[in-house]
Amino acid sequence: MNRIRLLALVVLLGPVGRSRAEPLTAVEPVTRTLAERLRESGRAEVQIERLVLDPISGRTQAALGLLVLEPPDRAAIEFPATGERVTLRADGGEWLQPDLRQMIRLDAGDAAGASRWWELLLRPAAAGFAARRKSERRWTLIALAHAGLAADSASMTLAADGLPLRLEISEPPAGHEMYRFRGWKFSKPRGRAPFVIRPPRDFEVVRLH
Amino acid sequence: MTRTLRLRAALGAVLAAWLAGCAPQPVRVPELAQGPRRARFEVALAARGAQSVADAELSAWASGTALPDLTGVEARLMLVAPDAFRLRVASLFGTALDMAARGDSFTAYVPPRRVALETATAGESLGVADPGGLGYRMWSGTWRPPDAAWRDAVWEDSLLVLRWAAAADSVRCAIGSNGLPRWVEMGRDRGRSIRADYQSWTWIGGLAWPAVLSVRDPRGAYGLRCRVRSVQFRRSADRSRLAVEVPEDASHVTREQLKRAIARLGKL
Repeated sequence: MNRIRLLALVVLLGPVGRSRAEPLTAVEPVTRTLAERLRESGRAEVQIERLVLDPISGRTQAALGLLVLEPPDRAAIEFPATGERVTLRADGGEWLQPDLRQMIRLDAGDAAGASRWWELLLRPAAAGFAARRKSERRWTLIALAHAGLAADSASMTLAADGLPLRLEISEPPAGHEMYRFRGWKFSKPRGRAPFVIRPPRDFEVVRLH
Repeated sequence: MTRTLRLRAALGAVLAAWLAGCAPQPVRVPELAQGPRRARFEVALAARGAQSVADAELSAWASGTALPDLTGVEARLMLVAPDAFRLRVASLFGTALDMAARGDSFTAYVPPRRVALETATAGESLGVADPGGLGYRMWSGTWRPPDAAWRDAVWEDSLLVLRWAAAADSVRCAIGSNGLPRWVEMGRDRGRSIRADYQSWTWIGGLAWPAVLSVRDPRGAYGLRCRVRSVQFRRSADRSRLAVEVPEDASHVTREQLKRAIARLGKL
């Protein structure tokens, strides 16, 4: 099924890109090194810097955080300065927002929507993605329309060692955010518990509709 | 004086001070004179009104019988005197809502649904005249009662309540003893009305600015509570930052459709 989708996309996008763009491929070459390291160890931890252009102030807002990946389905992001945390699993996840004193429980569908690009890092063979090489270490990633989610694209730059260095996500018409990855560490998996957030006592726990 | 006597004297002084502290304190009754209150109101209003541009971060919680249970959201707010604002609701998962108004023009874009509402005549098409001015006054607390409103002001408990007409709307504004608006009600004939409660104010360099604001309609169908923080003032603004960019392929919708799209924003 995934191959059929990919083929359809190649046919659709082919004429546009024929003159100068590289052909669409599977995403495996982009995520190969990370996938191998995750397969060997079971857990990856990396410092992230999230940069977002705020169109109102005209300034770029930066936040330092930590991303943890444990295949096949667990991802967690944490921003220590604000205490904001997100955990994503196949069965859902949690989103803790201390500024709002609330914790949102995500169901499996929410988590799938929220974790689209992280899912690609976790499971390079996941259905519904394609890639196009832009330069030796730079790729355009394409998430195909899938399960009610619209098609989307992002740009991935790899470091010399083949691990992800930068992920850029555009939000038309003017939004842009970038994740910089620094200091990948691999270790043994710690299981499900670190990927489940328990709400602090005075936080409101809500579900998305 | 021996050491024991000195100790007793010191203990006596401490005991007297402690007893004095336990004595009933005089209750400060809010001053019920219009002159000083108007003076305080006008000084504070002039200070707020002198700020051409204000940027702030906002936490907001929508509620009401006409709305589903919605989560709290974080937003950025920009106010430009005298009649413009932009509000952008965004999170780790992207922008949920971007809206701006300037005078009678209004634009709202919901990126997850790719739907937008754009109008240059909000008074006619949305039934809310001058949404830009209304938003600016509400978030900055810069309500400007005319002289006549002061002449006819009445006391409601310790609040001085002024009433005046602004275009087709009637406005009632209650001013507290600190000279700051406590609540404002706006209504049109016997139709729609709205009430804003200024639940707390913050002081930024000696200037009072709304810190917690609650807005609702009298029937309780729609309500919004905002906590404002990280307020920064600037002398001028790049007007292009007030403009919400709507993609060409976005669907243009009516007010009711926009409301439904916003109500469905619960999904990521």
